[in-house]
Amino acid sequence: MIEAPETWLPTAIAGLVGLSLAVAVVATAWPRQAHRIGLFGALAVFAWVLGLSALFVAAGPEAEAAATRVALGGWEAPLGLMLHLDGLSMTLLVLTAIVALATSLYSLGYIHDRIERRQFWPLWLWLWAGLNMLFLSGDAFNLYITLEVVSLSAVALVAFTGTAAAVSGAVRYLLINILGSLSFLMGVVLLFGEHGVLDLVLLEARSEAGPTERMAAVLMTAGLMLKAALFPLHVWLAPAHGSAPAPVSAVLSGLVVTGSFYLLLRLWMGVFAPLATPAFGILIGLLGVAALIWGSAQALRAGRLKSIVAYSTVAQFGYLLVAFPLMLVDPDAWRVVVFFAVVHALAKASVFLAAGTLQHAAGHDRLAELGGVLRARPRTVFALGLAGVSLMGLPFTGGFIAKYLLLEAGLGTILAGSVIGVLWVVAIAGGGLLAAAYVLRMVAPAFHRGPERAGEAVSPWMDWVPLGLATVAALAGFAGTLTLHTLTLTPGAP
Amino acid sequence: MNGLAELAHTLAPGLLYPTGGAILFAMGLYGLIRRHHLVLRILALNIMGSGVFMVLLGVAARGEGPPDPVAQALTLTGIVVAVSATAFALALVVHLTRLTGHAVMLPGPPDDDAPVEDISREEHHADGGPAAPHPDQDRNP
Repeated sequence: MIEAPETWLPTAIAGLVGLSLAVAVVATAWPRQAHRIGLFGALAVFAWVLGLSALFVAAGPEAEAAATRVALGGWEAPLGLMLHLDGLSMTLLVLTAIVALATSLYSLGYIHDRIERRQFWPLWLWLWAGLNMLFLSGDAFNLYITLEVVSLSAVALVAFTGTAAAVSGAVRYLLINILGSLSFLMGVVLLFGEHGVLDLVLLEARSEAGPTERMAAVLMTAGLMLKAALFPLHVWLAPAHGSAPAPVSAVLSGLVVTGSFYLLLRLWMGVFAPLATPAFGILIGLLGVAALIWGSAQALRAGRLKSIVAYSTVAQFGYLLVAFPLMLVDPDAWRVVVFFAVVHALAKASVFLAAGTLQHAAGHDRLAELGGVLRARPRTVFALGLAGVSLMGLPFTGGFIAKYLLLEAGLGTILAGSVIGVLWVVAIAGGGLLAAAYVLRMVAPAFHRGPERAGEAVSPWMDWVPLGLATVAALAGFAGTLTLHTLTLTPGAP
Repeated sequence: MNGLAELAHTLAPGLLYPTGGAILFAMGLYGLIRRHHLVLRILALNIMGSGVFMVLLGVAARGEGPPDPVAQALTLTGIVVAVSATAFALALVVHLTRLTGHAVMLPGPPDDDAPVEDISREEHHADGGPAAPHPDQDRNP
């Protein structure tokens, strides 16, 4: 007898947390076999997430009334921990699964050394498990714990190569992350002191625009902006992301930063929603414009390929801030913001993977001397270009759909009578031009005449995975309707 | 001075601890920004953490009756996380000190501001002349 999908959902949600944790624990316990465990674990978690999303979409309008909530161990909300699955977390779980699977396959080719393999795989699987828990957690204190799991394993991965630059970048990243976490925790403590509950849904029901909420909002927002490298708290990003190994950079820029942004969005759509005023929205939007200009300028003058990509993350996250005032005028715009973040994560991860392949082949990533290697590796350059086109937002790519929808929301605010809407529209359109400039800078050396230089041999995984992920990023536009539909299944959001 | 002691005595723990915690948090933040030695920075972060836990204990002590066990459990969990993070940070600092000889951070990645204007020039000049672009020059460590 076949039961309705709703009855399976809670088991599938708890199972996802259990499975990803189990894979991480087993890989830590048997480091000798970590790469095999990691590969099969990655495939299993990926399949599980796809199954979960099928169940979730099939459960249909039931999920709209109330998101699926699972009480761990049968302890209900005020005391127990709740897992929480809605359209927003489902979308980000699928994104994480896609990028994480691509990164795992890439790492098979990237990390050969026996000792390095033992160190890399357990850390990477912990990071993935932490991200899965972050997207599924519905409890403020538990969110702090998952943030720490994610950031500690991310820091260890940044320090992975063990060079002075990498360890220094890791220390900077760790100090910033602990500061952000403590600030977030202080906000959680204030909310707990005021309302006596930690569950996000219960907090949302009790929240009002009081002084405690204001203070908590300032602390938690500042902490998460620090972790998400949102302007002006972004200075740590380029040293950390630029000095990490390629698969790690891809995950940091694609997923870890997006995770902090997800939490920020969730808080401001729920607990802090009564505090959002138009003036605050404009302030955040102006920060976004500054991020777009500053990040693009740095990307245009950086001399290393991976630095360009890292600075472009700062610039692209400016869009997410610019979208904030749009959300206040047109509440529906938040879905576009999430879609943009999804497309950005896919494209940015493939750009970093492609850059890693080129760096591996050339032995360095100084743009001025990369010409020969770029000419000899058309497949990788094509991946770089394809993902870059999605970042720019040229038609038929995922980036185009996302920017088109953002522009539409921006024009909507102008029609609604907001003068400053003109600035948002100019920023969204102009940011695309700046993106085009730095993406072309990355691929331009390939088109100069000169000798080819194949450089060091590259494993097939490193050759094909960036191209595959870039194709997914470009085709994400066709999944736009499905993504936006999934996102409507988020209760409490407009 | 006597008046001050009396004032502290009359302050309920529900007010004393949060105020003290906020002061610790601010002091730690100041130390984190002003100090450059990494061990001092890690200590500053620990002081900030103690500030957060003091506020949490104040929350637990507020109201009538016995203290709130949930807040105390949260404090314990938080201390465990803080200890692990501190241990990890200290290990990284020890490693960095072995590599560089100093317990301070390096100023950003090398080559980041390398001049870039020579890309096109170098390539165009390369097509005819014998000045073929150095195949192995960029292999240096």
